[in-house]
Amino acid sequence: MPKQKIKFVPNKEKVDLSKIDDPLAKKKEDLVKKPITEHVDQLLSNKKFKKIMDFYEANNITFDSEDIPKFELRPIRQLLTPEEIQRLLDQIHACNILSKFDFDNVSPVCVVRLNGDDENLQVFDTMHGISVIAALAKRGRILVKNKKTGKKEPIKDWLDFKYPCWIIDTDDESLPAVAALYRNGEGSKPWGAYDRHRVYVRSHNFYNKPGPNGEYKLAAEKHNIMVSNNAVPLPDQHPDLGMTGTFSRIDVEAKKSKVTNMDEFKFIFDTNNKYWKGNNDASMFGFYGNLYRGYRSLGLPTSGAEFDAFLDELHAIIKTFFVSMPELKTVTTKAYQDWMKKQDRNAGNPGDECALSVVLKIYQRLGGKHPLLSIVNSFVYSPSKNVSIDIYDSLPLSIRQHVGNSEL
Amino acid sequence: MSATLNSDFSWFYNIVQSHNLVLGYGITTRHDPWSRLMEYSRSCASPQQFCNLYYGNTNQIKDLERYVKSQWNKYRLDEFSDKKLEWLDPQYKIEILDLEKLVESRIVNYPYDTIKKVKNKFLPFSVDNQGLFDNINLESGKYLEDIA
Repeated sequence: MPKQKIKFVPNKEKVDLSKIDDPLAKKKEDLVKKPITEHVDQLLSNKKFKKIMDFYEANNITFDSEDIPKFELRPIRQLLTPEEIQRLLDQIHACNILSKFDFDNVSPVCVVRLNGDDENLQVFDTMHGISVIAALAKRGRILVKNKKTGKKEPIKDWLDFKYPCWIIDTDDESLPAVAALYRNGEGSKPWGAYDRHRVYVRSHNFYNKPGPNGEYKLAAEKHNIMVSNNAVPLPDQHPDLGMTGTFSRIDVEAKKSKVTNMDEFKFIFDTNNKYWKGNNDASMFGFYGNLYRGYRSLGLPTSGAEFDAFLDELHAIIKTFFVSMPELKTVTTKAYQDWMKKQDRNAGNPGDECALSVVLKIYQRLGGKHPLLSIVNSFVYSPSKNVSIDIYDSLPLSIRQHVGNSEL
Repeated sequence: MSATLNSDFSWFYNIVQSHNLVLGYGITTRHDPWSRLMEYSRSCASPQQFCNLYYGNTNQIKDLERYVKSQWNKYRLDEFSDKKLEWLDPQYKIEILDLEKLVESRIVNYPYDTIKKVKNKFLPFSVDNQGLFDNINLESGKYLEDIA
């Protein structure tokens, strides 16, 4: 039976970025400052939100404005950190706060005044912030105005330094721990990787700030590379997320942000766009990143006609046998888990070089002529001299048969 | 069909629920889509139908479903679950023809070379059609057609 020649068949779909509402494509003057009414309207038209509000109304549940905690300036000597409530002091986190210290960056301290005990206020939020502030006060780094002389100078007794506190009065001893958990858990929505990317890009694009170690500038350059390759980064919950031309995994990119090799970054997105046209899966970082670094480390080219022909062949393999990058990842992950099981070992997900290794193994079987990376020999288990178990044999039989009936 | 084993073939279906006309989609890797249809019918005590059925290599079918899910993520119902469902929110007034167009454009342009559509004369696929496609791998031309 003659073998079937495989070749990469390009996707003929058109990518239309104009349909994507990219927050970072907006100019500064086009960004609106929403009045509170707009958010209220938005929330009250949300079915789930409205149901909760309806429940409050149906049961006549109201909230007394007198229950709002009080704002007071309190000397830091009155602030206690109860072991029952707080986490251990994270000294690295405190170093980070100190290294970028600015009063503009620190929140008021949230405390509980239990049974009216005014001298012992229990801190349940901003523990790290107030600890750093106290250390600065102790070392004379915080200046206060001397009322007599009008001069600014370190306070005489640093424990007298007063700081804004948000005080909850209660007689419920169990409240502070629960309040701390709520504020730092389900009651908070931490800013994520996209928010950092957004702030970095805008700081550079709007205010021409390069950022510490050029990080803002780098983020802006990466953003341009992504958008020009049909990969518009969008935040979670963005209505357009998932559409062709969008990119959801800026968190994965953020992990790579320390890789300042823009040639590699560009290679990853250029190659992904060339073959997958706006279908952007995070596995591109592992697959193309390992490919790029592997050939560069051997001193072999990662561009030119010969390398392009090799890429065409690799992508013919992916599309013919695995359909897409996400499916390649799914299938090779299952194969990896099966291969580990054969060794009586438990497995989670494989390293990000696994998919590339499997594709190179297939390339080798199909008689590919391009020089191969050494990871083609990875994922082989040899329990004894004449026995070797290759991850390739853990691929589904249908794929291996298909490979056996094919040629490049 | 390609040289891939037929045992690795699956179904992509479109469904309009008979009792509320909500449009949805999904896949099943079972040989007979009837058992999947019965799950929908039993859970709402109402006979359901698959309006369209597509048959092809499981990896291609899974990728097609992934595409539809992500492409129309914003139109998916997010009630009754913390996750978005494979039902399309009626407020967007998406019709079966819109879904058909999205699916078939993807099949042709990506392309998914193994995915074919069940011929109209076998549609809609109903609860009375158990075993209808038992011989589909032997007589694919009888049941399936290429998407133009």
